Amino acid sequence: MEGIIEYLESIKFVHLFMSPTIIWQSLPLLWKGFQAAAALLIVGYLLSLPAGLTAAFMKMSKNPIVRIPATFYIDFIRGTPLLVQILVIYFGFPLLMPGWREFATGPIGQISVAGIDMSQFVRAIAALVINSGAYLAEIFRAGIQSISKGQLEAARSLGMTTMQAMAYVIIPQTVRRILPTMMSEFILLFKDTALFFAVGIFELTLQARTIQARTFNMSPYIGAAGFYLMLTLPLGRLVAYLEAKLAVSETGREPENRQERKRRKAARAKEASA
Amino acid sequence: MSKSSKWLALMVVFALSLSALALVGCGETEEPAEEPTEEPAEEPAAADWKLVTPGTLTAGGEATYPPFELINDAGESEGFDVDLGKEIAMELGLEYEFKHYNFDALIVGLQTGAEFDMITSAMTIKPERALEIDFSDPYFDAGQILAVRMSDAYVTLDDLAGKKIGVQSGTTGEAYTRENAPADVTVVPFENILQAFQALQNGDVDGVVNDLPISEAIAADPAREVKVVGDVMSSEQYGIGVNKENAALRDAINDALAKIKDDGRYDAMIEKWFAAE
Repeated sequence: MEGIIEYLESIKFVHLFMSPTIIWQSLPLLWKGFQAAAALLIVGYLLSLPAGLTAAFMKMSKNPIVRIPATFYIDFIRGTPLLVQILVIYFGFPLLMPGWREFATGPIGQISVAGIDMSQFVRAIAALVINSGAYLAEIFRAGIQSISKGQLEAARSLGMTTMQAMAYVIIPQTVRRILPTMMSEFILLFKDTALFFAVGIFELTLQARTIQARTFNMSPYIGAAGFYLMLTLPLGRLVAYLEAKLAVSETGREPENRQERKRRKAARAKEASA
Repeated sequence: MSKSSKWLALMVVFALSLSALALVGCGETEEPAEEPTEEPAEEPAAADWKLVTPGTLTAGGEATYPPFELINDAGESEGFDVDLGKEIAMELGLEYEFKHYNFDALIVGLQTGAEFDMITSAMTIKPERALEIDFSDPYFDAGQILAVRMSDAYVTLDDLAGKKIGVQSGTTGEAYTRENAPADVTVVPFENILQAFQALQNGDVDGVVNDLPISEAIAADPAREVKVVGDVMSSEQYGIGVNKENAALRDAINDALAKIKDDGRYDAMIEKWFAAE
């Protein structure tokens, strides 16, 4: 075993990018970073759902006073880089709030959430919710508008209010239809948490970066990449699976795979020759 | 054609001619480079050193470090290191170019041999760095100093036990803090030192460890509400980084440096960038 590691370290490329020794030593810190990134992701995403739903309904409103702010918010956020939004919110928020410094250095601001100080965590979550809310709003809107108008009219004719029709008829169908897209947004958001390295939040990328700066070696980044893949790969597969299921429920037909197609072709050929 | 569309057409024409002018302007600035420079290259060994761009001495540095290197309001790089680099380029009979680069990527950038020829970025000569790159003779004395919020009474690193200290990623300030601060201090690396000071102001960190001249310059701005405290914690010297495979360039830089120090140009630069002290 030691011989193998020694051999691997002697190859310059392997030593610089995937040194087993350095990756192994980085694991505890990378694991801490992974927990921080996951906490940001889960809290941020859960809070983005109501934010996105609210913005989606506001944007579909006929009343311009409600609709225009929502349109502006969605366009502005989706049209600007998340990194810029993070820098503005993270460094700008405290300037806006009187007494922020006392809060940040006080007992509540110092509470640790997955290794991140509360005062930092709330700003990071604010940035994530503001960003992801805009993307989710467009996903929700597209989903709701994809359900045919007749459904709403049918529900209304049964005596349901618009709210009831939304809650019991439209939204359940929407959720099924947009679930894969919502999960893709979840995956994207996870990768986006890496941007918090720029404001000194110890998520996965910043942990890797500090080790990299100490060792002049790129391997910690590859180790961090492994942690990202740990979540994104299975989730990506799940999205693909859900999409296939969705296709079945929408069209009522099983998507053909190659083997099946071959079998059918053979059957047809047999029929023709008979 | 309506009035508004006429205006639009006029504006388009105006914008196009502006960009054409800009293109011509670029062409003009390039031309003098081809003329022989007034000062003939003294070193006959000019061909010995390798340059990323022939005829140009390209310097790399992180331009967020006033007064050593910064981007001014006109979008140009300036500062002590930039002036020094220009003087060295002149001594070598070369054109000068400054490239902005993240500090903690400077060494790797230099090693690729494709980005810049030397590092002028207030970089401290350290044994770990000297393993990776060569350094010129030292050109500036600096040391680490602690900065804290005006309202706090911390003076030493030990006073900050259990607290957070902001540093710039990859600097000697980071290395010094990691080695010398109490074990329960969290060292928070930032992209540049100005963000570290912003975080200090906002209460995200409780101290910033950084090179004395820069911290003093930042603390001099009353809007920052920070102060430098205690003694200089280490003695350090800045050097110019050169690729290990480019010894001829390092020697030429050392000769130029000695000349610039001898004939008073160095003192003039100190006067220009550190007049307040």
